[in-house]
Amino acid sequence: MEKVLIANRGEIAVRIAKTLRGMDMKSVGIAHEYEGETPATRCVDELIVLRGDSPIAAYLDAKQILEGARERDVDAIHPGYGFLSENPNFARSTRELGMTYIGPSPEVIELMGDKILAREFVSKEGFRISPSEEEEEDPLSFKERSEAIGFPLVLKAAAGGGGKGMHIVRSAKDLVGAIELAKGEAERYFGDGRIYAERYIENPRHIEVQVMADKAGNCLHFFERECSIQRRFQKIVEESPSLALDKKLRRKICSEAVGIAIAAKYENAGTIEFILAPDGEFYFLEMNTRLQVEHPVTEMITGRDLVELQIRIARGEELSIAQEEIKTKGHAIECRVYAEDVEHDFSPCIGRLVDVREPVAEFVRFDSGVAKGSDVSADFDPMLAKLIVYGETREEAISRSVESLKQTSFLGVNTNLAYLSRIVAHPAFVKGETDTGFVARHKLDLAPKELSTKKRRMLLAAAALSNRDFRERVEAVPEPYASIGDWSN
Amino acid sequence: MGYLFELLGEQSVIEPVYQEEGIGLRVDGRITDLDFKDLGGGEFIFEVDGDIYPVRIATSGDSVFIHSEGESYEILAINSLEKVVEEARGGSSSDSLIAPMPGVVIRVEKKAGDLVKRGETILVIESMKLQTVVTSFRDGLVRSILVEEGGGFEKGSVLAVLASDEIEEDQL
Repeated sequence: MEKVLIANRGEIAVRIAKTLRGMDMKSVGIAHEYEGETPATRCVDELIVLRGDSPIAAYLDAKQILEGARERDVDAIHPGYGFLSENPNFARSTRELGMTYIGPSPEVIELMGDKILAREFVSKEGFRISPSEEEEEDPLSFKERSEAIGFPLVLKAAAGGGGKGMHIVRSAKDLVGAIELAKGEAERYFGDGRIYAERYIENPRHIEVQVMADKAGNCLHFFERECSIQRRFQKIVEESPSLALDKKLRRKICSEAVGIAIAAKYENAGTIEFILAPDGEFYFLEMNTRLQVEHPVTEMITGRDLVELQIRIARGEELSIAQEEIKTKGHAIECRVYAEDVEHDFSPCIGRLVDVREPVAEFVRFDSGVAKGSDVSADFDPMLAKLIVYGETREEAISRSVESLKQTSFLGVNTNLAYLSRIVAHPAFVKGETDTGFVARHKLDLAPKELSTKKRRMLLAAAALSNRDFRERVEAVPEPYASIGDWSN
Repeated sequence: MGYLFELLGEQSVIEPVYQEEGIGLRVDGRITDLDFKDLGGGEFIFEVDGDIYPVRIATSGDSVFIHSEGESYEILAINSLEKVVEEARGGSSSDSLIAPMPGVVIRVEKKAGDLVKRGETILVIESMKLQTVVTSFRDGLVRSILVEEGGGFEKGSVLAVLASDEIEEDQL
């Protein structure tokens, strides 16, 4: 394996190219013709320019990408995350064309991609999924079976999704009425009256385990990541280790993850996501059959390059390390920097970056896909960069994160940088009181503080002096008032 | 000479003040004691009324982006006040004097029926603690004054109307 195509863009393309360079391999990037130069196009050895009506369609155009890869004599394809990374047909076609797919088999991508099949598979293999009962199995005993799950429980439409037709039931006396209601709604919304009851876990923690398996069947875990801080069902702050796991629970959840990966005959890097209930019970949520956005957190505390391991496994090497050799040191926190308006429901923002300042500090890793002059468009996910910070202790990682977030700036477009520092500095976060309800619970604390009149005057004064038109008028006045301070910009 | 800027959806007037010790700025009607140091590369230290702020500044067109204490702000240069007043008139074809921003009427110097020369003061308004003289943009006749001294008005309100040329000729 000498030449690898990175079927992705942005920070992850930059990150993969970096490892390829370190391993003395050639990298081939892709970009849409309208995109222009980006950090991702600058860091690859070769570039395939994709055509198509829209940039996003181009990155999903498996045929065009594979044709380009063949023309360039590419040996392997790394899909990154998003785009084609969980598309079994892309993985299959890559292999059929004689190239190596840096990831798992198409079959396991297919299995884990279907959330219902995945749940059934995991349960059948004897692992924990959240307790549930289907009405269809035996409608007459549905009430009793549901009660046995315990309260609170949630009634869901079998054909449902997007939160529609869900009913949270908190006590036995409400159950019968809620079942009727849920059935009626399921019928009305989805034309399918089948419902099931599932244990409702309030404000769980999101815990995931990084696994890595080779072709020979060796499977290792690289410990957990906690990704409970989410907005709009998307992770924004991740960390490892999780404060919620003691030694025993960590061993249990990690070995369960390895068990699931082995049962699925998994190969390459994967992540098993669990929800952890406040009572310490955890349940399989889903498995992601690719490299995760938040993988650097794991790299930072284990000192392992996960992309390098992915490549080694893909080219047939066996994992040469034993589980006991994978150790963690210190604490790592990742903050995802998004171009978004936190005051308007985190809606994506667009614009041109007129100035970019990356944090410069020891123990800080900044994976960015943009630079000064980059256009942040609505075509792609608005994540600009990831700040990953190491500390000997969690406290140290927190204080360094706050400091680094304050140092960082992307001028020209709204970002969530200040919001992230309010999260990380929040007393509840510092105490480790993290769960998926965090952002909603602390909404008021996390809102921007009102601007003081003094600071407002400072900003306006600074803006006025930076405005050419204003300055020209001011300085048109003759000496001794010809200039203000040592202004020279 | 005032200049209009917008920050967080609110407009402010900034004007230079020429003092013995140098040029100061009046922001929102308040003289602001100001000093700064250019550290290069878009980095500055601003001192305003005794408080020190390290800032990072970048401009793009009419926008000034400032990063300070972990927060980023966008300040939009709207225009010089004179230009705003001029533009609000919608050019010379209009007969109306339109308020460029909300404010209060300080003084009305003309009444309906008065002849005015171009540039002559019709009324004085105060917006954002700054007085602005509203002058006639052409020779003509004041047809009506729609505001009273001490009364308030909204942005876009018609303050006064000049008679159109035809009527003007009739009257003359």
